[in-house]
Amino acid sequence: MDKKDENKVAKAAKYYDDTRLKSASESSIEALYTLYDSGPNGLNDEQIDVHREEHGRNVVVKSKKKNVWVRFFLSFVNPFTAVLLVLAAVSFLTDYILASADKSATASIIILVLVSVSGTFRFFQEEKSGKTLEKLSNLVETTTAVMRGGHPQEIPLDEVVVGDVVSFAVGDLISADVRILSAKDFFVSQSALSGESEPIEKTVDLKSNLQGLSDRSNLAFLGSTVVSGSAKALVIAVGNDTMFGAIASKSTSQKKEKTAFDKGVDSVSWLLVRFMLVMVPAVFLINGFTKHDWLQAFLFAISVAVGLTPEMLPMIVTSCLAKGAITMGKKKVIVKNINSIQNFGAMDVLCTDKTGTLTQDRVALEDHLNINGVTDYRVLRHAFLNSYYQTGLKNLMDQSIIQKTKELSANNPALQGLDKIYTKVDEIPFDFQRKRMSVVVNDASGKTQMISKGALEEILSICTYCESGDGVVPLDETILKKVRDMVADYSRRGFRVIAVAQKNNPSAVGAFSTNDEKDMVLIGYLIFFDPPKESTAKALAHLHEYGVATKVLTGDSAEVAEYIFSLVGLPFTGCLLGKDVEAMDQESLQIAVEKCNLFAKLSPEDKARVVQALRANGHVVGYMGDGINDAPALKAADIGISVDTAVDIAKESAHVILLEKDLEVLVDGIIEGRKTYANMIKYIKMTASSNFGNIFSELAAAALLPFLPMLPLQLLLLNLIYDFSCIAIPFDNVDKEYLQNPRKWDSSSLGRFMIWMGPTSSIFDWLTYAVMFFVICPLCAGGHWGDPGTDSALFTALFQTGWFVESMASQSLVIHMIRSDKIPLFQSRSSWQLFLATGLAVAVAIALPFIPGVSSSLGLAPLPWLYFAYLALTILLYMLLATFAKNLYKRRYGEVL
Amino acid sequence: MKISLSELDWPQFGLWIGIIAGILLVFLAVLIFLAYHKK
Repeated sequence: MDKKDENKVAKAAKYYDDTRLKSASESSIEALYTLYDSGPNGLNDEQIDVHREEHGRNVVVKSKKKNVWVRFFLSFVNPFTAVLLVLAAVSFLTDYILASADKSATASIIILVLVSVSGTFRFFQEEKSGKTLEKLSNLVETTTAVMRGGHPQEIPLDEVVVGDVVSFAVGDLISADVRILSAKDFFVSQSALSGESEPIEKTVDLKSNLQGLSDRSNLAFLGSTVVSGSAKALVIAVGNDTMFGAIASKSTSQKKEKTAFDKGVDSVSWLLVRFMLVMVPAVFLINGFTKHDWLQAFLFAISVAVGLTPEMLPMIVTSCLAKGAITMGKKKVIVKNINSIQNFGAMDVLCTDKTGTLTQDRVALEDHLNINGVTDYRVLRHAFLNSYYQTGLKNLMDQSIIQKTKELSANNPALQGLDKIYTKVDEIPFDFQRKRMSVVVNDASGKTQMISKGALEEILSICTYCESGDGVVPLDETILKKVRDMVADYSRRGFRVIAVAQKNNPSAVGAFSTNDEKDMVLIGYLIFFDPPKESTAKALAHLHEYGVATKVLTGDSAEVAEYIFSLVGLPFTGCLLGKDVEAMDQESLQIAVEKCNLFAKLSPEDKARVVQALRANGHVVGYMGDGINDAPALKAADIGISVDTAVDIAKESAHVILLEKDLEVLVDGIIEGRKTYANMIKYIKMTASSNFGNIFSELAAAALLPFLPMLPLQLLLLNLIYDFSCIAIPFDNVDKEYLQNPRKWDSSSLGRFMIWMGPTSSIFDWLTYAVMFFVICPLCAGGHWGDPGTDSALFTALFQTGWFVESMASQSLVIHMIRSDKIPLFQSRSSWQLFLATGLAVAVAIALPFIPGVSSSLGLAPLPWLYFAYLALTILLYMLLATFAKNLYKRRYGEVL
Repeated sequence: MKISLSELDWPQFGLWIGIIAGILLVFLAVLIFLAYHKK
């Protein structure tokens, strides 16, 4: 959080009415149940409706959406419209109000029609993009566990109401502002709220020494995430009544971090603006001094400025991105942040978690062994009690243990009715420091025992005994070696091994803590197998084909991951363990991450460090994961990819959500990202180079011609028609070869492309000037410019029409020549949408001078057949020259776009 | 056509076409040179 944001948060918190939360924190739970008409069993249907009516829905409205009419009005607010309106006013003044005879307001009306059409189109385009993205993001739903009518259920976050009794486990988002009812080692991160990244413990009791509302230990707030432990809580405030809601609604502008592409687009805009700042005064002064009509010179200069302003650039970029997001949505890839699409295309390294992405996400419990390596139901029984009674997130292994116990219980009395025989006393939830979890249970005889399970080394570190065939014996070096060898053997064969330990009579209820996790008895191991997906090998090969290197970042052991590598055909280049990552400084880590493609035994922070090191090396890094331990890496990556079934915090941290957990879908996303990038860069390069070319044409015209080469209105109309034709660019085809490599924004290529291609169009503009001035206009206007018998008005109109049509045709049709590295039409064809749009643009430009009324209002004149013969020839020559120049460019720089 | 082709100012037209063609040739020469003389 920067200083400005901190001030904003502090200000919002200051004005936030915290009376309700303060009073909830100081009241007893019973009093709160009464006040909020709730109870331990939660709310019933009737109460839910009443509470929703009274306190509203749990939706934070960040900034009130502007009224549709305001949005409509804002679509008209741009320099293009402003200049057109000035032109309309001037035209109305000179042609209608001040005109002595032959009053005509047609030109003004036409300008107003132009303004309406462009603004309305922009409005509909933006509305459509916005709605589609909203619809797509609604497909990804975050839920919360709530008690309703005595039954636990999962409901969408926005359906939570005041008075609901909610449960939280590791990885959950806190769904509203709540008062804690019960908690076990419950730590939350309030960084979204306070900027403080250290987790804070939340308890049932209110601790003293209060600093502020967010420091109150028995309150948790919307926007926080559960780092460890579990809790039950009563909802006190929802939506904009929450502290997060107050902050979000107060902050008027949400700062978006600019991606490399955003910066690139900005640099293009500024480059053109700088050209404009030099050009416009020059054109104005030269025209003013040579033609002595300062008003027309001024209007022309302004129109040149508008022509050079890439006013459609933001819309084309948004339109390309929105189109990409929609196509990806159809392929079950939901883009949460539209800007991530370009990062998708630029990604050259994909880091992925192992479980569920490379593997089937169907962890099966293969065996339950005692320390001698013999199948033992006692080990399974203890594992069941641990998995069944822990209230945190039940991962795939817990589910597998419960499932297996149920299956085997039919023929095994020792596994029957365990949930009835044992009652839960307490638990210590899982966390990534300890890498284990413990539960305390007692049976009918009153025997209390603590059962822990977790990663082998973490369980061994708390065991001093083990259960062998001879009863409980001390865990000496010989046994430890035997245990480690056996587990290593299983790991090498691709099995995941979890150890189980037990001890009797730990501390009394309430006093039970992580300190009790010592002097335990190792009783055995659980052997799991998570086979690779059938599609993984193919998808990895595809990623490799598309220039994306895959690296696996896992919390698992290196042996298991290596085995999976061999199954999916991923060449193993080296492995780095969590402890190595921790020991390395940034520089050596940056070197190491390049060599290795397997990173094992990583903590969440290690994963994030590996991602950061890869980014520091200049890679565009994607990270795919679905667990709590993936959240930091998801945030650290250029593009965080998660799945619909992931824990809340992972979904929240990700930029892209896959509705199917499949690497093959990712390949589709990458292709779509690159297509989007290709079409955007196509528009930027073509527009920038043709604008650059126009600069030379207009400067030459200003210096050499006795009149304006085009009327201001014509220049604006040309710009408008061209921009309309560009709306088809997002739909254009992209060459297969172009999609093979990651595409990262490179601004140096834009400048050189402009200088290389721009002057080509100027040469043909000058040629048109010469042909119009010396041939076509004299032939039709009855003489040379300045001769007594020449119709100078017709001469000027013809000249301007000639350049108008040639300019439109060359600008539109050259798109087909330089849109691809290949030979146009024969090797690479544009999409039908682009053919249609550019064809229509040229047809409109040709037709306008022939439409009576419209033509005279625009200052255009019907062109003779000779002109069209010249046009056909010159466009053909231009296309050939542009293709030739493109090939020379490709020869020097490797590729065109 | 209000005047005949012979009444056109062909020398002036030719001059300008020559100038434009000259610029084109220079431009192309630069492009070809750059394309075949990589850094």
